[in-house]
Amino acid sequence: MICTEVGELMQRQLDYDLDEHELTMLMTHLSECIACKDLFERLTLLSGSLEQLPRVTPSINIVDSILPELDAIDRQRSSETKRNRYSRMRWMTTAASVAAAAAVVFIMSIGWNGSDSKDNVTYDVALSPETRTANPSDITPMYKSGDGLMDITTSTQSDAGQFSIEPMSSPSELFYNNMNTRDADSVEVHDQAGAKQSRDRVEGSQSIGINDESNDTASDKNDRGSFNNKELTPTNQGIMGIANVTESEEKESANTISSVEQAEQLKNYSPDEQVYILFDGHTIALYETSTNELLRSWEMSVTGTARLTVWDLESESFIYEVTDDKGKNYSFTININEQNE
Amino acid sequence: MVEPELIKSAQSGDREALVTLLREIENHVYRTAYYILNNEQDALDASQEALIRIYTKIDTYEEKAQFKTWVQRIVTNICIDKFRRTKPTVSIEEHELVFQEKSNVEHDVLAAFAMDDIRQAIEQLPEHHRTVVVLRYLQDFSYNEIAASLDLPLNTVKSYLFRARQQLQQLLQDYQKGGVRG
Repeated sequence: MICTEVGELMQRQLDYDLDEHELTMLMTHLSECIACKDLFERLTLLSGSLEQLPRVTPSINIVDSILPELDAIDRQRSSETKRNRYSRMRWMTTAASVAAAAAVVFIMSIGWNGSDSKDNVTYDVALSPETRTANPSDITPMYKSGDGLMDITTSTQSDAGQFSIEPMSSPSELFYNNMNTRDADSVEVHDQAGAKQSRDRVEGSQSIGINDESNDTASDKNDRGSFNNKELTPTNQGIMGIANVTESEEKESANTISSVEQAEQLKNYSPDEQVYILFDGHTIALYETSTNELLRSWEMSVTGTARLTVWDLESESFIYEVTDDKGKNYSFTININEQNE
Repeated sequence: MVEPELIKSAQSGDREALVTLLREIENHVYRTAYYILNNEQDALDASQEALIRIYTKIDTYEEKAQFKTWVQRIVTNICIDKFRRTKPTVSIEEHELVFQEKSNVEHDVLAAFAMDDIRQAIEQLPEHHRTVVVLRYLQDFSYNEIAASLDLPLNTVKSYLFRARQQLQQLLQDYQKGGVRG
């Protein structure tokens, strides 16, 4: 055995890692090689000294010294939890209000077509059990449930005036469908010109009608099939009822929040809360939540009052709605990862 | 040895259990930091940082790892970061060159090494060598436990430890012969 091979045995012996055979080989070599014997003595002395290094202890109680910081961490976590909860609640309220407002706008626009058109309007709606209610505050926001997502579409084509609310298989499907961008006019939801109503139902969709007896829908839980073929006519009475509730709720809420909360409410957080969007004049700005840094911005193609309709579940795109000064509504989808056109 | 029940309680959100757990590991954390950084104040700073990190990350600890190696991984990482910020990098090759030149040192009869000399010599080691020595001798870790703590292959751990001891005995011999320290 040569000295270089013994080196590893010496080292392993210091860690009590040799078996009996290896130990015998080492000892045999050391009895024959003075250089290795000296080296092993020095290493053994070193190792023994290292084992006897004092088990130093800190001069202060380190845990006590960091307790204030640990308390601060707990407070921060607690406030973050509250903020997240607040943000979600605010998001749900906003989504519910917008959805309700959109429903009101649709229904009113159809209602204003005149008495001769009222009976001709078909409303195809498929809702999950969670969303079957006329109370806007009870409407489940889209990003909370993949089931029962609604694709609200209208067009100025021959079936204008008819709209359908269909279940979507996934949230992203909803948004990517919408991103097959029609031009602004084609997504405009109020255009009644040349409206030709139809009783045709959308094939494959589970449909119900909406009317002022909307409480009926709430009783039909747990049976989606039972929603079929209930074709009903909206009335202004029912519509205004919803609108009044929404308005009063919003006013009450506005009176009780502080200016900080108002500023916070302008932020439309994504479902994952990594980013939020702000509507500022003609610009839509995307900010990072943690740093409040501006990430991207988009110019709006329509002048008017803009508001968020909904984010997708993946926090990759959102739909917003603009109401111009003539009261027309336009809906657009923006994918935050796509380059500006 | 920290009781598994205490760890579970701490992970489930029991703050008192978590603080108790920190108190149990405080000295171990400090000892590693002290010998890697060789400075009391730096060791206190690193220990505080490590304990805070453990406090905030306790939920990420998984039972498949030993708790003590998980803790030592945190503290050694913090120490190595501090070490890199404050010390110029010393290459292993540089050390080896020195040792090759003096590899045929005559054999003196050695007394016990002075503790201060040992600490001085440890300070001369490259960061990973130093860390391996500290875990082996100040935490009584096995090769496998060191490997788990530092996320290094077992053979690398042995290699670092063997080289470190070789370097240390050389440095200490130099000190005893009145060589330059530090």
